[in-house]
Amino acid sequence: MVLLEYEAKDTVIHRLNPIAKAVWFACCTILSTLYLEPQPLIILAAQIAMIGYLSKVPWSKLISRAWWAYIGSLLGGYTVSLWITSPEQLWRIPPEYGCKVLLEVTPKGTPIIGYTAITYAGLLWGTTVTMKIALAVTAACILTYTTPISDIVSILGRILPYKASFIVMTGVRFYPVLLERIQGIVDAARSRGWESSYRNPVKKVRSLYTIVFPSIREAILLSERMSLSIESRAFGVKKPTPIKTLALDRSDILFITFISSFTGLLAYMWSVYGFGML
Amino acid sequence: MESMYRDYPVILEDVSFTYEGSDKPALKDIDLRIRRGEVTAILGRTGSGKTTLIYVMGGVIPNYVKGRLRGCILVEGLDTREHPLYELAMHIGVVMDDPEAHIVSFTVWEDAAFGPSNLGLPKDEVMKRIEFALDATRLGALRYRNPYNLSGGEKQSLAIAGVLSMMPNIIALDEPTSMLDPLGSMRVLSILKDLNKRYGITIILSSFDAEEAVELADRIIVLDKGEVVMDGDTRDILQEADILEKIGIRIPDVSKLTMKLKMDNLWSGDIAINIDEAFKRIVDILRDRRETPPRPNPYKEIEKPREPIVKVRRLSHTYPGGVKALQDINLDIYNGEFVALIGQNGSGKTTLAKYLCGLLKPRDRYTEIIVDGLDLRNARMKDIVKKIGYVFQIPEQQLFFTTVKEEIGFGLRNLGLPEDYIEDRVEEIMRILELEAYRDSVTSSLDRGRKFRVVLGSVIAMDPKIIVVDEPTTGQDWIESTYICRLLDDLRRRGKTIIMITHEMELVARFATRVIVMREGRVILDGTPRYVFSKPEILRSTWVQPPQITRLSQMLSEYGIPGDTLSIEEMYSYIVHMLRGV
Amino acid sequence: MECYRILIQLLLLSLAIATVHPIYTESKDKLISILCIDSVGEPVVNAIVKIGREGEILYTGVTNSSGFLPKPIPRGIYHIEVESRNRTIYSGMVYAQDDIVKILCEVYKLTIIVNYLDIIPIVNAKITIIDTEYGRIVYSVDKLRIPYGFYIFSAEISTKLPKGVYEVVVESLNSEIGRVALTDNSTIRFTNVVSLDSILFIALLISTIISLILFILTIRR
Repeated sequence: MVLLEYEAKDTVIHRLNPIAKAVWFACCTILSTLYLEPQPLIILAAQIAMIGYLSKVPWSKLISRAWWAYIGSLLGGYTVSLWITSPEQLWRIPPEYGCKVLLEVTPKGTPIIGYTAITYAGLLWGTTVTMKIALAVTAACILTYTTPISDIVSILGRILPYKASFIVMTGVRFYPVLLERIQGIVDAARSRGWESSYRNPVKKVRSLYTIVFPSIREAILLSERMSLSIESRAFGVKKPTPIKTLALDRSDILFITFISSFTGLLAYMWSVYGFGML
Repeated sequence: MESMYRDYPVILEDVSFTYEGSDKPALKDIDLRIRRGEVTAILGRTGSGKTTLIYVMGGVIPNYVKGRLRGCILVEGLDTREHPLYELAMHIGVVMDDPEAHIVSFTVWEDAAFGPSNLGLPKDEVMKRIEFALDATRLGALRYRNPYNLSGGEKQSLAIAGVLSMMPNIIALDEPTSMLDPLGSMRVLSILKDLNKRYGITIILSSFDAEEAVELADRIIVLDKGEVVMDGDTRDILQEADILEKIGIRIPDVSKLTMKLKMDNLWSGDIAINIDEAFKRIVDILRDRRETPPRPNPYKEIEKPREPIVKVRRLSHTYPGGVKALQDINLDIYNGEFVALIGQNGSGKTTLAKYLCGLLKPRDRYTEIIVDGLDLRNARMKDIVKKIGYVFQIPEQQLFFTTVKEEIGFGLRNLGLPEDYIEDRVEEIMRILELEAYRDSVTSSLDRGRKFRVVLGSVIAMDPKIIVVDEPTTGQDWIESTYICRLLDDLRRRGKTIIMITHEMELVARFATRVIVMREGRVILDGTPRYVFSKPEILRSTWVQPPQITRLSQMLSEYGIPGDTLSIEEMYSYIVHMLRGV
Repeated sequence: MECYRILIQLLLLSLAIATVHPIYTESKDKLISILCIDSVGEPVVNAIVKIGREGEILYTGVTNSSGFLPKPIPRGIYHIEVESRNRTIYSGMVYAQDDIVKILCEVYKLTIIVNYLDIIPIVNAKITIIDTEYGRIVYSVDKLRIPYGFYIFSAEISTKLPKGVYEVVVESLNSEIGRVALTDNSTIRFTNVVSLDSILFIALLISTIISLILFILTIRR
């Protein structure tokens, strides 16, 4: 699902080849996965912010769309961090420093939950998890904002087998169409007094069942007609002729080099120096 | 033999087909030869076998759709049973009525390239075919556009382009304009004409509408219950207008008029098949006129009760992305009116209808929508549906249950009414809509017309005072369309208020008591049909054309025919009055 | 008179002997623990402790992991000698009076920092410390580490050694030797050792900077 739709603009990042942007996104994802401490993520955040600034991303729109990811990761990360209380969970940070209890939440022996406390290492870990997810989501938004979906899918076509990438492409292509038709079904049901805003989960599920049948039927009909169309257009008969060239120019190569070196450097520091290991 | 294929690229000999799981044959003993370079229109009612015939010609049957196929089908000399679909597609391209299903890519040009690139052709060849397809369908300027953002007509053009890039010599289209607005239909028909005249492509299209066939086709084949009942030159077929009408095919108003005049010996020779012919011949006839017919008052309106049943004040709506769907709408609708809401696609008709039915809620505090005394701003849907019902355009998307009986009872159950009341009410509705024989039928197995009736029944079962119907005639043949409008008119006479969104101006002229014309989110005309259709210049800006008979009357206005004639009967009476003084 | 004088001298002599002889100093309810600590106050482990009086070794023991001598001694004055890594790290008279007697040994912390050009930490390097007096290797390690801290970016290793003169050899792609006379907690820095990781690090850093500059120049054009 796209959080931030593509907007055709003439920025440095928009002009980059989609492969370059895909490499950037992959590198951001790799780096955000590696670390367990916030410091290296601050460096990554600065890099993402720079790219976002260059692409003239509407930050308020991005936040308004992705706020749920940020809040969710914050709540999730800090909640799990309450269980980081023993030295065995730490790697580099000295235990007397990391396991220092700032606030005990539940005492030892609490049933089910066990002992939980806000520790220094826990705070660092919680912050890291929040930043990881927030940075990955932000990078994804910048990618979809600066790259048409057809370009993203054509990159997939270079990684996955043709039929698999076509399935992804068709899913993405038909998703809004199907959504529109399902919305039509929901509107039709509502105009007959149907509602689904029950608090009781059993009632809610039973009410949703009403629209499941026509929605599935609509999806099947659409896919049947589509498969007839693609079959008549020789889908799968031969290896398709690539018509879209994604040639890299100098700025693309330099950008890829910069991002790869940057990623390599930070990953190297993680691997050799333990940089970012809690 | 080869010369036969050269002249007749599509040959059907003794072809019959029955769908899997069905006892009734969809096609019976069809013998046809389509001439190269010809435009052939296949006319028939819903369920007559038009789509099946297109599928058989295109090889969709039996390669994709299974059933019992008998007979011989040759396309460019290839037996369709022995060649895969993609191979046949290089000779005959099939375009379905739903263009959305054809479009698989994210940009127009990529979609046009899909077929040839799948064939593994060299890149130069692929690019050449793309250019040809986009040029022929006038999509060159839109090549980088996302197909999702195209209009209906543009989407259908892209579907044609996708098929065209496979370089077939024949294109078969199944009801290509049934889902389109007038502008979209015009675009598609013009492209097809061009494809035939400029590139010599053989066109086969199925339709309900003879007027469409007249515009385009050299030949008409008429199907009824799976059999060919008429086959010949367009002009010759339309001379049998009375037979066509009996079969259920809509014939041009001018043909009906001239047929009537011919029966009264006021017309000699062939009946007119288009408006220009009718005009020329009537002008000749009227040279001997005796009297000027009386002119009706174009502004005669139904006396309105004091309080409107629907009141809209200061309604505006902007979609995300900045598109203004509605701009400061102020409207009153009165009890007992049959309101036709007309305008080009995107003019705001459906958005307005959704607001009236509570599917969209006003956000601005100055906006007011009152329906039968209920302020919709904070009203629950369960209360709204008791006041106003909405029937959407596509019946298939509104069928939630397996049987007709269950479907009609759906709304009543949602309202929590007692079961015995629901049963009685469902029986009553089935009686009104002539669905008693289909009580336990599976809804998805019904033809489109009956499906629509079931959906309508489900809405009127809740007994709302106002019924909104969104393009009820889409995909319906003329008999069913007229039946639906007669039903709605009957409901109006029983005290309901009807709001109908439609592109069928003939039905508007016949049934509507009031017409509201919208353009770019605003109401630009509001009045009786006679009043509205007397403003052709304003209507032209919305790509809406008055009914054919009204257009003819406007052309004949300088000869004494009132330019706001709405029906064939009126036109006939004026001509008779002018000639005989009666 | 002479008799009495002899008796008193004998008595005094007996008393003197009694006060120093272990038998007389051994009291079951007053035993003293010996704790050996280094210059930073941490226990000296596995040090050989010899407790004696007037040249006679009364007891020899090895300190445990907490720096304590396993066997406590009775109260008294002793000569204590502590040896670690073949070096005497303490020698002196101790009056064992309190419950725990802390022996401050001459063991100092030696920190070895290896950063190429004082910027790039060298983690993969072999460190060998040689006791110059005996020519023996007293410490060897293959890898340094970067201590935990927000701003710390330095490779180091620390060890505790007895007072003495040592030679520190750092080996990687090249090697460097340093000498340190350990009389207090000391740090020795090596700034010219090159390792493969440092070369790779520099290469990546340069590549990042240059590509960024070139990219900026390209897009500005």
